[in-house]
Amino acid sequence: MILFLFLLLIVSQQPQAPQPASIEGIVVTMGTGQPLAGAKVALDPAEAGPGQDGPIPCPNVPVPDMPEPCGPKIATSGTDGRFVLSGINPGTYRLYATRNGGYVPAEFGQRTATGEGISVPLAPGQKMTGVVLQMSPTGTITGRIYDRDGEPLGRAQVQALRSVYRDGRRTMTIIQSVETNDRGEYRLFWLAPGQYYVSAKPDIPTRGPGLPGLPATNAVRITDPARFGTYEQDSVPVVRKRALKTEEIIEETSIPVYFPGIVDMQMASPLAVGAGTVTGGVDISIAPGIVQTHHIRGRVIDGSNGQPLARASVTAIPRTLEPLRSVPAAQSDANGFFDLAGAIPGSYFLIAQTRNSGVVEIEVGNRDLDGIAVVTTQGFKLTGRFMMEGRAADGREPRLAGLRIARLVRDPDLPGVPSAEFTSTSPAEDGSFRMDVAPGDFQVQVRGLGNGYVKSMRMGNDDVLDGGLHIRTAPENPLEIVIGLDAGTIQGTAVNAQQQALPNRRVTLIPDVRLRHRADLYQSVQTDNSGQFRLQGIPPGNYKLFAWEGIETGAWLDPAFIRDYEDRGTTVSVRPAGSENVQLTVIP
Amino acid sequence: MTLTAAALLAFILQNASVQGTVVRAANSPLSKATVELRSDDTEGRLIDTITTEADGRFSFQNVRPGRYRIVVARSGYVRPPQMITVTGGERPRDIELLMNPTGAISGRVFDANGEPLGNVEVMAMKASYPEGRRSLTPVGTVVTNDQGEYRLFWLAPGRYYVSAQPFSDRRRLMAGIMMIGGGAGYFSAATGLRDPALEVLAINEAGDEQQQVPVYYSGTIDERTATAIDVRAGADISGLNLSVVSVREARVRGIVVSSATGRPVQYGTVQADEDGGINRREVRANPENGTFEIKLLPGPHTLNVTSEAGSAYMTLFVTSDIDSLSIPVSPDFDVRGRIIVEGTNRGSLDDLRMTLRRDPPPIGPQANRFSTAYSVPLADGTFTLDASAGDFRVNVAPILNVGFPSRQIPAAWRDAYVKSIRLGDADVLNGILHLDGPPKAPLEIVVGTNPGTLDVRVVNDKLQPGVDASVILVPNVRRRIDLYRTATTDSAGLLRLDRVPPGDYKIFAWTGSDTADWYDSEFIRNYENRGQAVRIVEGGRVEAQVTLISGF
Repeated sequence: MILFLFLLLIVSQQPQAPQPASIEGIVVTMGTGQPLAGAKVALDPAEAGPGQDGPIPCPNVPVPDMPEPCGPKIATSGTDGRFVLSGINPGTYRLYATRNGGYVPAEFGQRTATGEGISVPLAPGQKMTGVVLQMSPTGTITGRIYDRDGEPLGRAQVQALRSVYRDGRRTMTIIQSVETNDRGEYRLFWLAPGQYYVSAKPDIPTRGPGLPGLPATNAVRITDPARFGTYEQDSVPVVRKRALKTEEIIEETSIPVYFPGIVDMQMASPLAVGAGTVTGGVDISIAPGIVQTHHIRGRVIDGSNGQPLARASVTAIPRTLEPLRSVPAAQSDANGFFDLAGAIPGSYFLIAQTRNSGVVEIEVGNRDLDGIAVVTTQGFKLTGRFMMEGRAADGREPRLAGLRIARLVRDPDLPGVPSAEFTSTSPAEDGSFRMDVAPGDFQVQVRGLGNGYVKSMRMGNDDVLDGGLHIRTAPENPLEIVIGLDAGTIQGTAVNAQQQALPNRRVTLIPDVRLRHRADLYQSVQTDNSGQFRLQGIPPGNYKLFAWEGIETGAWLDPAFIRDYEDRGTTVSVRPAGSENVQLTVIP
Repeated sequence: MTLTAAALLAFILQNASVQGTVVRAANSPLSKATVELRSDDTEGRLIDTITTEADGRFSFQNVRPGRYRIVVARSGYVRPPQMITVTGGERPRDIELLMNPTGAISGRVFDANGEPLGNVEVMAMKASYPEGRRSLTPVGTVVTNDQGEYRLFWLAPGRYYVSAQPFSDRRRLMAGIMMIGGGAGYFSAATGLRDPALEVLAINEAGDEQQQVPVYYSGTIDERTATAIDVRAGADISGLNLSVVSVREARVRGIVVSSATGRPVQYGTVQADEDGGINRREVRANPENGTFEIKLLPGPHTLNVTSEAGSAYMTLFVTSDIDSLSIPVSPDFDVRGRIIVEGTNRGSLDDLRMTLRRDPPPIGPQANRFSTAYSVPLADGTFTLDASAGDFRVNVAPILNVGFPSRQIPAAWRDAYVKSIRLGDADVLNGILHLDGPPKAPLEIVVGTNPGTLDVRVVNDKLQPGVDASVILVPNVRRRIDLYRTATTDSAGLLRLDRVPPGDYKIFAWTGSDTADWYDSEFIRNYENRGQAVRIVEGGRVEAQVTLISGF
């Protein structure tokens, strides 16, 4: 990675040195405004926005084994909080500050402690001064975890989670993960100010389920404080056998318990974490999370010959959006039989995988599930074709060879569930392509569109663009994807009530009410330094545009969220190859 | 499978139940103990498991006759596995499994400015002795919080070393990349926005010459000088603070010369391992004058030099800049020798693989790179080894594995042991093979096939049998790791060690602590006078009584 970056620098060097630019400023503590020493201020080349040039590459990069970055790209703030970055090649950059010891990274143009910043264009010879980077101290949550007898629980996994939108739906995502010590104590630290949920679970997963691409999980995962950055985790349920008073032996596992003691993630109470504060006494008993588990048993059959399939990895992936997935897993034996322990009631994708895979949707109730057959197939051959239609207004048409189906997206979109394998990475000259698809219901995601858009997607009589791709048997008809070239553009400015242009505001393009299920019709951009924005590649049709003072990432994909703001949007009709100009008033 | 009623009855009659109680003291049962019934073989297959309730009771029904291991896991307690033999039709005997409380070590980690250091891995490490040298292996890892605090807990009583391992920016960068690819957990497609500020910082700092390096209690970056901490049952050792230092990469400048002519060499390449062998740095020597410059973090390094004029191997501990390191390289040469096997009961010489291993061994898990290509003796016992200048130990696999005490020996060679290795007057078996160039004398290896037997009786202070006691046989030549033997006494406090190579040894017996500690010569020193000296002679049988060392 380092090497790769350096190579980029070396390869892209130019003979002529442009007039260098410089940036001077101060790093302060957010809230108090006190100068902050010891912060690292770093400049990073940004992707050029509309009407901006990318950074002009470094001149005369020396080529020893560890090349220096050209000019000082990193500076440390002094005791007065001041920093100077000079000798910068003109171009567009992002400017960040990071500091050890519990500060949220800051970025130029950022409007809240955890907000996104904005890029900095630097003209040749420009001397930018008076830049203020405000760093927010992080907060802490502490408490103790108790077991079912009320005794302190050691090595419990405790996580700080944040509520996020994913595919237009609310779910949670893990921010930090720590373990309790033998006294049951935990300390979740380096948390950016905000609302957090805390979950606790015993049974540190030591071994991952061996899902393809998902290695063993770690219980502890502390990242440096970050404004955003989230992850999910899979683990195999730890099953314990226990004899009841009746001498019946039951199997149990533990599912996460959310503060103040709730197993339903949606009902958990958030905790407010402030800058530099410690929220103590967040104690959780794992007792409500102890649930009886059941087995999923059956046989893996090789679809190519009808024979039992040995040593297939079998996993049951819950069909819900969860940050901490508990994935029952096992291997089929010599006769193809499998026995997965640790399943709790719910819906699952039951997946058998060797070189081929098979997926079955199952429901686990309050008893063992027996006799499930999972047939693995190579998948079905799906052929298709890309076709171009119309003409681009600016003559810039997407390259046919650059088009590709990026992914088949299931609903819900879960890692570890097979969907498609490509037999060819890019289409042939006539636009035709082939792929192997697994059975299931999908949305088709196309990449490489440039300014084009997917105008229609049909398989036989099915409107795949509107209704999705449903694979049950080998497809009879090709998937025909028409790329429209007459996309429209919208540009404009986001302003406040006083008609002042506002930089770094989120602008979202929402399709017409009848088309809100079409994820491909949504777009979102930030306004630039001058409060302007530009959206392109828009399929002709009716839309609503919104500009937001502050909106949670992905919230605009939630129809229920948008409904509350419906009358605040600006209706825009995009004509084929049209260019619209709008002024949006920011929704406070 | 279907069983007729008669067969079923027979099946039930033959099978027994295994039951008992997990306790922390007499009449103090322990709940939440996971009791596992496992097969007593190398696989240790799990047959059944149950978690105890408040009464500490466990029971396994319908257990077939055979030998089993009962393994108990309970937070805050440990005990070794219990071996049991189940015979058909017997009345179930109650087994009491007594658990030993664990200990804890806690403290804080600070940076060079005395500021608490968060998110630093702190490891409890145990010594192991590959190649006869102490090497520390982590057995437990925790992470410091924002106040720099750590607590290593549930430590089985024994001897530990503590190390703080800061995430170097290079490691952090690597971790960041691995996380994006799906390391610890995975990033979701929709919400997995990583803060680019962190990546930018990591990339920028990866090139820094200042790096934080692992530090070992009580404040050394050299693991060889780490201080051991004896953790006794139930101990809570606090205040073990560590300061992580930021060190500048040292600049090592030197010259690669030919040992024959003293002149600079051409096409010299200097390689060094980093991060315990994870990374490797390589620089080329100046073709004009043989000089080189390599940057190395302070700490132990192994340099491996190759050139047109030969090769060199060097271990050095870097503390600061080194300006004139002269590395003489010499061409490879042959070492000729002969192996003589005594007696008639012997396997084929074709089974033997002879190698020379660098001494001291290289830093990091790369030992094999520094072993010569193996040689198989001819039918008359003569052999030729490829070597270069330096110090070596002679390895004769499979009968002499200088690195490891455990060995798997083909049946025909089971009684065999290396009796002596000499080069002229030098005792190479118990000492070192030092080579400057082609040796004048042949390397002579004598293999004996007439080992001795040792019967050990372990008693406690009151001369009662020492049941379930750990016994270790330690050679007087302590670095001969290959001669160490461990075993456990039976219910009469007896055990037999057969096929013991002749020589002088000491026997120690104890209960409660980890076997691994007894390979630690420093640890043994505390108990030296509690050992029983024995001399094993060819074909002889020796009886020895050893008193149990207690009170760990």
